[in-house]
Amino acid sequence: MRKLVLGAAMLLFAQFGFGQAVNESAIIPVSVTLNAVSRLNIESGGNIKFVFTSINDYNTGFSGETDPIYRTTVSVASSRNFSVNMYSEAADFLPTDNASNTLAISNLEYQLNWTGAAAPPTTYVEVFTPMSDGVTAIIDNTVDTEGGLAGDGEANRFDIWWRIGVAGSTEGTLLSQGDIAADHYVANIFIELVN
Amino acid sequence: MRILKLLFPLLFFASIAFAQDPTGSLSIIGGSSVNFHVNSLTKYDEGVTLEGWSRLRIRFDDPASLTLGWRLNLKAETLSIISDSGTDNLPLTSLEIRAIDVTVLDGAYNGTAVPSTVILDGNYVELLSDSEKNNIDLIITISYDLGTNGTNKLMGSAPGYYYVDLRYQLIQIN
Repeated sequence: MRKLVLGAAMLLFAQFGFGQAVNESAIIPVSVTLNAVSRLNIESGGNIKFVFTSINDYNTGFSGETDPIYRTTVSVASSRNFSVNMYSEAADFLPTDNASNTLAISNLEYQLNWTGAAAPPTTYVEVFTPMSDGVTAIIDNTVDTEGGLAGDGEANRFDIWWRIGVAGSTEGTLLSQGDIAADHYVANIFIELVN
Repeated sequence: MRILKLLFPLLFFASIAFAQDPTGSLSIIGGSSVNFHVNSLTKYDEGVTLEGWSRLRIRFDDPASLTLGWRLNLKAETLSIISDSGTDNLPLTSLEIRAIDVTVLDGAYNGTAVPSTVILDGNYVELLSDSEKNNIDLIITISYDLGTNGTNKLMGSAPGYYYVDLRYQLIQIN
């Protein structure tokens, strides 16, 4: 009799086990793949040519600050904040007519003029600076929150104003240097986008 | 013997009562894995939308009217979208989930208006709910938006692989 009572009681309490609230769940995994986008584009002024044909040219030089033909327009499309480095391929201009002729690369100076829709970077070359074959960060985001910001080419656009032989530059006018031989001098300038 | 006489009717009625417990099920019938590929600056800037990507089937029945209806909740299993590359995680708020359509296979739906959008915060948030409870059989279509709202664009995020698990939960409303 006790067993019967016990059995019936167990059966009764077992029923409570089935009286559960609805609580169903399912899991959906979500993955995100971010591919880096990093493009530097020379939009214009990819080949700058300074032609000295008069004493006046030797005396006053040429500057992209006043003449747009001495400007290079650069845009950057980057999904991350970026830096831009620039340097000359060689320590001096390379003569094409006479290998013994020299023209120091530091005669070439540059300055950035920010034209992008985004706010200008905190750190960039805002004053004329002599070119060198050492890597120079013309836009620098090595310090967090500084430098170029992620964005498209409309947001991140700048002109490089080139100048050479201008009074007030580090090397002075070409005329003031006196002994520069006539030649065709060339230099490759590298511009690098760094993320 | 008296106890037995008492127990057996109890058992009988209890069985009847419990046979009318609410029942429910939740299953993913499509889009069980969500994959965003961000490979252009436009996608970084405007985000990515996977429209009508997942389809959930919900069944719910409460013949004895013991509940106030059902609710579909959603939560992320982690507090951010985890980077698998050791870089900064993406915030959960960059992901939005939209219930865009409810197809009624059986029963009725008079619950939350669609589209219903939720932004995750690590806790369960309600996506849909309804007081209809008899023989409900629905298919819910879900869309996913990543980086589409103005405050959480992907621009500037480190490239890499990120992941998060979304847990959908069907519960009864008491």
